[in-house]
Amino acid sequence: MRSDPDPSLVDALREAMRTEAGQVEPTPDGWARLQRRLAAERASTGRAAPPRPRRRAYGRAAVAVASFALVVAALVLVTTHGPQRAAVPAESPTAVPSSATQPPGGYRPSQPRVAWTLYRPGADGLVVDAARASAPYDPAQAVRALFEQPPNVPGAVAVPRNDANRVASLTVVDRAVHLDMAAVDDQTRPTGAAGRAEARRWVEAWVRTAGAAFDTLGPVVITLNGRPTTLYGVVDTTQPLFDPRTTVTAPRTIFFPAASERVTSPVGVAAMPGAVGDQLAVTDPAGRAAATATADAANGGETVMSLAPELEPGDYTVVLRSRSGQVEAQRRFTVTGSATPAGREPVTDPPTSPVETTLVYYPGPAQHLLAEPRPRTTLSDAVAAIGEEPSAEDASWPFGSLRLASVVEQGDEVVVDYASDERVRPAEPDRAVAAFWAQSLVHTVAAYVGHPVPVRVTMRGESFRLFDQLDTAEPIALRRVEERTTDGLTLPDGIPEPGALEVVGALEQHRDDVTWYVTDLVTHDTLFQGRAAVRSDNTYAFALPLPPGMYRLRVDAARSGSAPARSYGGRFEISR
Amino acid sequence: MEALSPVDATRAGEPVPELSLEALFATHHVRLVRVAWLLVRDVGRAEELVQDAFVDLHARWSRLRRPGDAASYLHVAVVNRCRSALRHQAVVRSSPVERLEDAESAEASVLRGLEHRRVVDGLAGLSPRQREVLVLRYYAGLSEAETAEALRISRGAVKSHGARGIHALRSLLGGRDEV
Repeated sequence: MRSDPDPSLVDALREAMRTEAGQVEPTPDGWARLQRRLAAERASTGRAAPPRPRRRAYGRAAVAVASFALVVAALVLVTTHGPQRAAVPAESPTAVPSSATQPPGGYRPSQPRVAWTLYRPGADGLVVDAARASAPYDPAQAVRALFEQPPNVPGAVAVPRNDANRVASLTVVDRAVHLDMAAVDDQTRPTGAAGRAEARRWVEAWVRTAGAAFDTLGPVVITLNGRPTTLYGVVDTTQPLFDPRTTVTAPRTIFFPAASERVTSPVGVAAMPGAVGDQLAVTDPAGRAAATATADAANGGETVMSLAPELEPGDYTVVLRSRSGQVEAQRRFTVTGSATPAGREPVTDPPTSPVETTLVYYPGPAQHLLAEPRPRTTLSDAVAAIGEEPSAEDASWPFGSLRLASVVEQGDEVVVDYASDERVRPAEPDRAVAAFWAQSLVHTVAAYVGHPVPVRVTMRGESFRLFDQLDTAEPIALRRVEERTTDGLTLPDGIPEPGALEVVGALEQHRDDVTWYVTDLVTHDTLFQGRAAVRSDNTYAFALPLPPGMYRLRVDAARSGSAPARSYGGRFEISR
Repeated sequence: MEALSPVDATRAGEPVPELSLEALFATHHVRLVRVAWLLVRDVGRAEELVQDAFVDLHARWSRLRRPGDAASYLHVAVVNRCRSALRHQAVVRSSPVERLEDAESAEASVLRGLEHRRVVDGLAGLSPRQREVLVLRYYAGLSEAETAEALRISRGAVKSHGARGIHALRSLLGGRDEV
C-alpha cells in the first residue's frame, strides 16, 4: 500500500493546522466553569454526572424523582455551609423508597477490591479504618465490617451492641445509596450531655462508610426492612442523609495482614499512607521487594493504599515507609499457599443478549475471501464495513479507498454508489485481481440479503473503472471463490453513552463455545467473565451491558481436536 | 513533605482533586480544545467536549494508577467525544476567533491565511478516522504508536489512514489524485 504521505502536503497541513487552530482561544473562565460544574455535580449526586441529561420516561416516578432532587438540593445547601455538619436529615418531606422500590439485586462496584474503607466513630470525628474485601465484591461487606469487625486503628470508638445491627443490602438507586438494614440496635442510647452528638457521630460512620463503598459522598437513605427508622434514638431516617464532612483522622498504619498472620496468595495488603511519597512494600525473606506502591496524588488524602501480590509460600514483611525512608509501620506474615481458583473468580457472570450478525468479506491471500461477522444493522453499514480495517492481519481492504455515497436495492440488483476514490490500493491490481477484490463487495451484499444478487457499482451515479480496471457498466455477479471465516474479534470504537457492548467474532475452526473476560483497563482487574456459544458458521456474538469505563475484552477459544487454543483481545470505552 | 489534607471538600477516598486536575487543565486544556476544534470545527462545542473529558477524568481520578495515564486518557476521551458528537449531529462549522493582526496583514499574509483555511476546511471532507489520524499525528504531535493507542487501532491502520487521508486531502484541494 502506498503509505508514505506526501511530505510537502504534510508540511502544509501541519502549518495550516498550527496557524488556524492557534487562533482558537478557549474562553478564559474554563477552569472556573469546570470547578463549578464539578462542585455542582459532586454536591447533587456525590459523583460526576453524565455530561448531558439522561433521557428517561416521565410519569409518576418522575414526580418522586423531582421531589427527591429538590430535597437533595436543599440538603446540599445545608451541608455545604457547615464544616462540622452532621448526618442531618432535611426539614422537608422526601421520597424514601418503600420496600417495593428496593432494587432487586445488589449494585456492584466497578472493580474488585482489596479493601473497603471504613469510617469509625472517634472522639471528635471519624477515624479511617479498612476491612478486607472478598469476592463477590458486594459493597454491603463494607458496612457489615463496620458492625461486625473490631477496629484496626487506635482512636476508634467501640460502639456498644454494634453487632446487633445487621445489613440487608447496600445498593444505589437514582444516584442515592440505599442501606437497608435487617436489624437495628434499638436499645443503645448514648447518654450524657454529649449523648446526641455522639449518636450522630455513630450514624455519620454508617453514612460515610456506605458512601465510600460507592466512592460517593451521598445522599444515603437508611431503612429498616424498607421503612424509615430512628437510629440510636436520635437520627430519624425519613429523609436522606448526607456525608457529614466532619473531621476525619487517617492514622498512618498497616491495616492488614495482621502481625504473624498466615494468609494465602494473592495476599491482600492495605495501609494508610501519611503523605504523598509514602511507600508500601512487601519484601521476601531475602529482602527483595515483591510488590510496592507509592502514595501519589491519586493515592493521597484518605485513600487506603492496597496491593494484592501473588507470592510463593514463605515469610514476608510488609513495610510502610515515609518518603524519607523512615519505617512508619511494619508487619511480618506468612504465605501458606495459593487461594483456590474459585476464590479469584471475577465478580459476576452477567446476563448477555444475542446479537444478530452478517458476514463481511475481505480479500485474503491465495484468492480466498476472508469472512468476518459484524453486527447486522443496515445493508449500507455492511457495505461500508468492507472499507474499514478487518480483524484478520492477512486480509486487505481495497474498498477503503472508496468513499461510500449510498446503497440502494433496486429491483433484482443492488446499486452501490461511491462519491470518490482516493486510489490508495493494497497493490496495483490487474483485471483479475480487481475482479477478485470486487467479489468481496458482492459476497458481502449476498450475505446480507440472504441470496446472490448482482451488484451495480457507480461513481456519483455513473459507471466507472473500479480499481482502475473493471468497467462497471454491467452489474457484477457473484462468482464462487474460496472463502473461510477468520479468527478475529470486532469491537466498537467507543460506546458514546452507557449501554451494551456488542462483541462479535469468529473462529477459523469450530469450537462449541468461547470464554470471555472483561478487564478494567485502569486497574487491570478482571471484572466479568462468561461463555458464549459458537454458531454453526463459526461466529459468536453477544451484547454485554456495562457501566461507563475503559475496558479490555479477551476472548479465549480452547484447544479442540486439531484446533489450537486462541486468544483475542481488544480495548473499548463506554462513555459516561 | 507534602502533608495530606482532610477530604472535607472532596469525595470519600479521593485526594484533593483540584491540585492535580488544575495542573492538568493548565497544561492540556488549550491544546485539547484546539484538537477538538480541528475535529468538530466549532469552538463552543470543542470547549464543551473537552470539559466533558475533564469531568470524566475527575470521576475516574481515584482509579488512575499512574499520573501519566491522565494525559493519555484525556486524548482518548476528547477524540471519542468528538467522534460521538459528529456522529450524532451535523457538523457546525465556525471560524476560529478572529485575531487582531498587526499591520502585517498584507496581501501575501491574507493569501496565506486563505490557503491555510482551505487546507483545514479540507480536513472536514475526510473520513472521521482519517481526520483523527492527521490531527493527532500532525497537530497534536503524537507518535504513530501514541496515535494508535489513542484511536485504538493498529499502527498499520494509522499509517494507512494517514496515507489515505493525505491523498484524499490532495484530491479535495484539487491535486493530481482527483478522480
